Amino acid sequence: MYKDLFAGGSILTKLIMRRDRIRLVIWIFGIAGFVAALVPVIKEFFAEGDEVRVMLEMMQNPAMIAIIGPVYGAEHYTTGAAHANMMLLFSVIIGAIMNIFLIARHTRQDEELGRLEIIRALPVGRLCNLASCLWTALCINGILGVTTGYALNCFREAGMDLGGCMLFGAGIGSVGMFFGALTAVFAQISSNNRKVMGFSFLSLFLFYILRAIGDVKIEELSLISPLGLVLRTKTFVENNWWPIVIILGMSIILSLVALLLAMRRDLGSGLIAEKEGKSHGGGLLSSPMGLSLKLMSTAIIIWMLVVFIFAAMYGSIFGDLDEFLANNALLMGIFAGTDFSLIDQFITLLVAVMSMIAAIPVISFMNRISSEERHGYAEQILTKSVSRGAQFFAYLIPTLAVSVVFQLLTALGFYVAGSAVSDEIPSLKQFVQASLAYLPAFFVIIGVAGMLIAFLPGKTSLSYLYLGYSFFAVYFGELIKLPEWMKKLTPFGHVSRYPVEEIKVLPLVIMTLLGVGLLAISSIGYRKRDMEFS
Amino acid sequence: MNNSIVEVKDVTKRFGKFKALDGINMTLEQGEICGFIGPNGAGKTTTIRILMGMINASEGRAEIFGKDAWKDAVELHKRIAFVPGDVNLWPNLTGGEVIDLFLRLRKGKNKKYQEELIDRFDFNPRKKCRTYSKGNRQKVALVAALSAEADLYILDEPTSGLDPLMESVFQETMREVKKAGKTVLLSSHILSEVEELCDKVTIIKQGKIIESGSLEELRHLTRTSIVVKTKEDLTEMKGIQGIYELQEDEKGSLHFSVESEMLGEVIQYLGSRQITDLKCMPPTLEELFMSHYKEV
Repeated sequence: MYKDLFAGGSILTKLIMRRDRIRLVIWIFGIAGFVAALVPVIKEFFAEGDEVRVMLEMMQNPAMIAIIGPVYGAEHYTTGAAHANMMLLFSVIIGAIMNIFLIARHTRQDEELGRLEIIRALPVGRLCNLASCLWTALCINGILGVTTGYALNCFREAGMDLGGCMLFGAGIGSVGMFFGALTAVFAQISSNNRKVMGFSFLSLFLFYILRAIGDVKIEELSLISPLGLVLRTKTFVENNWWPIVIILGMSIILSLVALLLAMRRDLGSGLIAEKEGKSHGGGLLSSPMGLSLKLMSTAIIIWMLVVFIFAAMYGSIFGDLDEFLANNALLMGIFAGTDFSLIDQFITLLVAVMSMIAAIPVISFMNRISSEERHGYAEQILTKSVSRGAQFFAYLIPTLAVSVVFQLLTALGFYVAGSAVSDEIPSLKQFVQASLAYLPAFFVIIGVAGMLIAFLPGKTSLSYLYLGYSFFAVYFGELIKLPEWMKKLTPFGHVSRYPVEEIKVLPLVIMTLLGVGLLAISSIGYRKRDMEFS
Repeated sequence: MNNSIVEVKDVTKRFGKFKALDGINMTLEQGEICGFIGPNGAGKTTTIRILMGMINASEGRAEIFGKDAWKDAVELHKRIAFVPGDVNLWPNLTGGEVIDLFLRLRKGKNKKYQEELIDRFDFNPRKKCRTYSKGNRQKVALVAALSAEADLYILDEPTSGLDPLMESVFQETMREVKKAGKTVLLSSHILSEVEELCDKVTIIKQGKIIESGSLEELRHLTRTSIVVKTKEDLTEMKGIQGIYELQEDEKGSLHFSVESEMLGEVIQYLGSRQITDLKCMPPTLEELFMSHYKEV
């Protein structure tokens, strides 16, 4: 009987791997390559004596700890210690995202598209698909971990022995498995794929916040979060394996929960039942923009909360930053000569990071023009008395409005949380100026998304790649001494570092004009091209 | 200018190197119900998408009410009711919400008739679209299209997911539409439906219109099947031109089909052979369809 539940598993596992072979290879080599490629960069950066001390002090301030996690091995800060410090949390998060996509695609999405029904009609077991997905995830995470480990081991840098390298890989693999199993649980509970993705990413976000607060203030909170636990391996410093064991144990429990839930529900349904809705459309459902707002409203509200909480979390460490500075003679010395405090320095970095985080949903709202089209929804609208232009602006205008709202919420989050813990922070007005200075950069990136929608409708996800590059250039640009022109390839590299610098108006005007120009061209392009049908 | 409702002139559509439509011509006059048939991938949906201004013809022109289907799409859509081949609906809206949205986007609607149609199609508008079957999604599009005040109905396989009961409700509504003097382009695989409703049939194959005309005209082009029993021997019939599939069954009746223009001659010949039993069946649309598609 139990064997029957899993019948056909090995064939389905092969099918999953076959369907995703290119995608998974790109993910695995992308992650391993990125992690390894930064080893020589970090080595060079931390090679010179005095600068390392300053850098190390900076890394130990609460703002940085909240972003990338605590510093281990400061007494003997080897290349390995620095690498794990800078890279582990990010690579683990990227691995988690890979797993969320992998599991959601092969469980709830396949079920929603009716593919699973065809499979289940064959002599395969009821739990077969889910078990195959989890098994595939386990294999993929294993391969990812070992590949990353070996890639790191190639450099044989100080502190990076084989055990440590493998531990780094195991960290990525185990946390990946954790989020894969968690996604599998959500796939049983929720009634559709959108909710599965929503819940999964929300929990990734909450675990990140939990870890940030834990790392800065209350250590216990970090131990609840797999993202906090994985940092406790103190990779390349102490090389603890116990957190990996705990994370894997939690993953096994979550996998079993998912399988048990799957036994208890019917194909196509979630454990949380779908309610009956209204028999008539409300007033909002009478124009294309009304429809777009109704479709996006939940996502907009959730992202508003995410942006605000993120900003407030960063804001809440400004107090610790004060204290940290007061006790740190070295950094006091450095900033004594300038008019700006360390807080101001960090505000510029944090506003840049927050703006790029907010750009993720902004791009996704814009890309909806194209996803509505691919799903065949746009055809339903455009065969009524609705012009292409109206359809385009129905998504563009909310996207632009939401960008402004996100930036205001960022400023508010910083200010509200920051002023509660510190007297030294800038005024709300300054925060608002600093964050609104990024709006022209938003216009450009929305413009780029628009151009893709108009002229390369099958490749709209390239906008995210461009944003990824922006993040890389702005965040790692200083670290790896990226050439100036490469930093300037992204609109986010052209924004003044207010309040440390004056806001330069000219680049903002140029970016605004560029953004408007791109959007004008793309709205014409969208009007003139054939609709795409899948 | 002529008064045709729909006029497609030498329309070609290329997708890259692939020629989906190859110089097609088609006209619909006021009050006509035109069946649009052809196998999968022949170009029916592509033609309809051009008429709806979703894609632009590579060559030729497509006009509705004398206006350009691509340029004047928004204006035209006020007078056209459309049911697409794949009805994709937003999973988290209810059927009722979608029907209201569609009607409001066209302006002008008939509230009372909408409720009546929901009733006649036995449709529950309170459920989320993701839970609807194909047939129920089609009902959403049908109710929205039929309760709109339109002069032209373009329907792309509107009944492929409906059960026989609902199919007959659909045919009933189509007869009402016809009575009101509206024009309909009905693409369908259900040939009995086309035979029942349409005055005119257009057959498309591999991107070309291969036949177009009234059912009577089309029947003329094909064979009539005949079952006959006579006292005298008929073996020499094999030699007559225009006779096909000749075979004798165990009861001694002769089955064959005959080209329509040869019919008179054959009957005359049979008449002289002392007929005891004769059945003569005009070709069904199905046979018409098959005969066009089997031969390449």
